Amino acid sequence: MMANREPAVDRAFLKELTRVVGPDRVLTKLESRYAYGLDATYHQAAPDVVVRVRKADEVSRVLRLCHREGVPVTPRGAGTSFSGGPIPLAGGVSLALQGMNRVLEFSPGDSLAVVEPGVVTGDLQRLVEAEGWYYPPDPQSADFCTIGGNIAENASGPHGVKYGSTRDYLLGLEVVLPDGEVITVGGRTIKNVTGFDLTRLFCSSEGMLGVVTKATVKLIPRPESKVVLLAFFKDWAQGGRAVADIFAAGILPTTLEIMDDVSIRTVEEYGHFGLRLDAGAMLLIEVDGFIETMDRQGRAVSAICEKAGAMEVRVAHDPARQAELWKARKVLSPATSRLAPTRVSEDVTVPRSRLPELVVRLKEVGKEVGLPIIVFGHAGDGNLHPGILTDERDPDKWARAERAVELCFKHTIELGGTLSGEHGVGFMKSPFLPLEYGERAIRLMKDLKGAVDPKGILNPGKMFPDPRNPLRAGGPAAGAAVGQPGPAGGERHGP
Amino acid sequence: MDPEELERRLIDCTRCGTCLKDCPVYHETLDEQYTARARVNLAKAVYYHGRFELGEGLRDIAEACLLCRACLEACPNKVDGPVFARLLRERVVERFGETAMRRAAFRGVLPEPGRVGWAAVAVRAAQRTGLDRFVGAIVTGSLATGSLAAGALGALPRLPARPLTRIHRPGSVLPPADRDGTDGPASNHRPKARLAYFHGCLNDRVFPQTGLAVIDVLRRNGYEVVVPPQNCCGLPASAGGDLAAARGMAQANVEALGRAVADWLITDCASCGSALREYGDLLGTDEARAISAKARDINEFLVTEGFDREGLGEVALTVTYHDPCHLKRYQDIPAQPQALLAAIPGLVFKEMRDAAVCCGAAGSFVLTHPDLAGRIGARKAANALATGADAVATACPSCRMQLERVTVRAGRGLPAPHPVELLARSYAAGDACRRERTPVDPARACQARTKASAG
Ligand SMILES: Cc1cc2nc3c(=O)[nH]c(=O)nc-3n(C[C@H](O)[C@H](O)[C@H](O)COP(=O)(O)OP(=O)(O)OC[C@H]3O[C@@H](n4cnc5c(N)ncnc54)[C@H](O)[C@@H]3O)c2cc1C
Ligand code: SF4
Ligand code: SF4
Repeated sequence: MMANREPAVDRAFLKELTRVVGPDRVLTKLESRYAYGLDATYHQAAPDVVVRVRKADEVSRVLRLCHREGVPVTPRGAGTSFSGGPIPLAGGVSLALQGMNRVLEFSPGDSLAVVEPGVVTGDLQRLVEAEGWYYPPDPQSADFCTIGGNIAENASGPHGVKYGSTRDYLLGLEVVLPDGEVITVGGRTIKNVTGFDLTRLFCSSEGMLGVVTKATVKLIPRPESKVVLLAFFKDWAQGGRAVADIFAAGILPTTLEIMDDVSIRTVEEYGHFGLRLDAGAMLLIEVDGFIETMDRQGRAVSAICEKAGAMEVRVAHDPARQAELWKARKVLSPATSRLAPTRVSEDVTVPRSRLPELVVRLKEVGKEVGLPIIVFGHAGDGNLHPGILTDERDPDKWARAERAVELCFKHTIELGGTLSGEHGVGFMKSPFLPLEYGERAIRLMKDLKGAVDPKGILNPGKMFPDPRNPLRAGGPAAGAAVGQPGPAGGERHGP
Repeated sequence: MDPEELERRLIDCTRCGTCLKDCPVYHETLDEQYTARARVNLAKAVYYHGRFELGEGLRDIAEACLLCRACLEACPNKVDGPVFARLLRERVVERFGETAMRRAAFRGVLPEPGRVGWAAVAVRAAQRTGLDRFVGAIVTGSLATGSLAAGALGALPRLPARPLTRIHRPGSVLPPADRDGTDGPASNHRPKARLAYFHGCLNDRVFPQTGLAVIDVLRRNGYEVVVPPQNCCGLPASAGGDLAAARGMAQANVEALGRAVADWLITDCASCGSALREYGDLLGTDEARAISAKARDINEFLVTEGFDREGLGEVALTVTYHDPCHLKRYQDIPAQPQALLAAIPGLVFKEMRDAAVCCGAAGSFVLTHPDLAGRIGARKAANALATGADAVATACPSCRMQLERVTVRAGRGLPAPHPVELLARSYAAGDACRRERTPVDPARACQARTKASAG
């Protein structure tokens, strides 16, 4: 398969690219291209050439060129994807958008901002928060991922329970289609029902339908105050009951994070936060609103947790103490990544009421394949992050991890859930798409893709089961799995 | 690094991209090839899997790193980005050889204090006679066995007439001084400790005033100070990927400093300090480990051991401070220099934005990437100037050169003295005050105003 792939570009093509962006922003050396072949998964495949664009016009001209020559193009933000999205499976061009990072407009009057796709999410958030506004989508990678990547993956984070995901804040987009044509969809108004909702179609299209070159995003007033609680429970059943009761009481928290016993213990060893080691589950709850309501909401949530059987509830009103309580959740990822050489992280999601059941099943999967699985995630929206502990260098353990992933997906779908709540399909989950969608629905998606991108040049090999997928075509590609320079990167020196 | 250690460290990287967050080079270039993530994974391909054929493109990637450790500080898995930049540099040197300039510097000039001296004399001559950079480079090139390149000349400030080692010859032993800094009865007292002073190349040749201040402050505080013979600490070579040259210089220093038999080894150069503290690992001998264990930064030493505060007089200056990477992140000394400044009566301290972000000098980075170094420096300059301070203190001569240069370029040149120079100035102000017998309010420090100029 990829091993014998010929470079998708030739000298004449490179010359034309150079004419569009100048020689400094066309990278052809293998060592340079290599960095653009990876993301936060354990795979990589170097592109044949990297083009670092600065303007929508450049994007358009590059795409027109690629369209004419049939050269694959993979858009790239900060490369923090967990689904392999920005990895150029078919080689060709890696279209690097980080350089398009201007905030073009901030309009409190219309409560919106207009940004280029390379703007770092956290930078936008800080900019508007300083003025009393709030851009809520909060992937944990906000300090280094880009808005463009967030749109393409429809990213969200802990505050999703109350504030939803990226798509809920998109008013309009400027998109370059695979043939280089530039269109605008949506607009600057909160309400807009004219035509098909193409804005949402491009949102979570994983860079397969068009390249976002400008986004108009909705802002909301920054909440005045918040209260943070940490509650410890004997087990998940109790924790799950507290979660259900909080909603039943008419409280909509911004955050409802849950951690299992192993996570609690690991985080405690890592940071000494004074967590209860005898707890089987821990909830981190945040509620926001007007200052006057904080006390009341804090007490109400606290009482609900206690009624559900909490062994201890800690409440924080002042920001420093709140940050401390949050810390235990924030260090979870680095802390648990020490448990094993490799942690395979999933983001399966079920209806909230099925969460305790999913946890039981996930733990059983762990036993079945003989690998520890830690469980934590966003209990408020049913989005869990099971972490399968394995070793990328050990083929047997790796195979068992892949088996565990399959089982996780199976159980999730059985419980009425979805394969991915946040991270997207890419090629990490594409082999499993038929688990969740019927044949006709998949065909519709493919028809859509074909209508927009008849030559299939934009981010090929993703979303649908595909022979180019290093995961499933001819069994697990051991080379890719252990992070070797994929054949696309390692054995040739490019054009 | 042994292979097992290397493998463990390589696998620590989960490719999350957090290291993009604070990398000054990435911020300027927005180009992913110049990030810790890129280098770690290139190193992984090169070393661990051994299937990666290297091209010349590696040199650029390996060198476009400040070794500032901002990535390490950000990394949730504590992956040491600069270690991998250095590793790749070693590999580049192994495979493609050193650039002529570096070979001359690491092998020809730096290991020999005499030749560093000659190079300095030549630079000074070129500066004085107003020869332009190009001619200057030729002059220094011929005088100093084909050494410093044109860029180096442009990067250097005007050199002083007398380097520190002309004022205090190598081997000098200076007894404790009286409170006013003179050789009074105190010189016969038993010193609190015997300290060997490591001045390094820059504070000898370029900023001898720092060395004089350090010696003055230590002597006033009851210490005996030895100025042992010494050569370059080796950091430029190890940072450049020439470990053999770095080891040579380290070994020579270990021997010379060992002979000085001091209680502590004090340095006022953040870069030298971090190099000295790595000798143990670099050479792996007991002697080297002993030197590393004794090496202490002057700021940390004074704050930890305490210093005379009563003798301090007023220095009416507004001062901000820039954290050298080699002090804050390499030696974990994040607050001591500021504490010294805070102790000075009359001095107003104003923290600048992003005080701990690298200034962009990063040793030879300023020579290999003048444009990037300039852009990173310009941000630093803007932040320093925004405080309205009269001076931007810093504890590393290499940062100092950069700060003084970039603030000039930004329109208002700020001096960048070492905190201990300001401390020495404060003692001098105290002396002047006492000489004038100004009545001293016992509750407060001496109020005599010295005419404060920031220089
Ligand atoms: C430590 C860590 C924590 C994370 N936490 C979360 C989390 O809490 N929630 C969450 O949702 N995700 C999370 N992620 C995943 C990831 O950060 C998000 O998917 C993010 O949206 C990716 O943004 P990016 O800029 O890195 O895009 P990339 O990874 O570069 O690209 C992602 C996809 O978007 C496409 N793309 C990028 N820019 C454009 C554009 N302008 N137009 C069209 N397509 C484009 C690419 O082709 C690719 O398919 C996390 C990742 C890490 C490493
Ligand atoms: S070096 Fe650290 S921060 Fe950077 S990608 Fe690797 S693990 Fe993440
Ligand atoms: S050491 Fe500094 S310049 Fe080098 S990669 Fe890390 S953050 Fe960037």
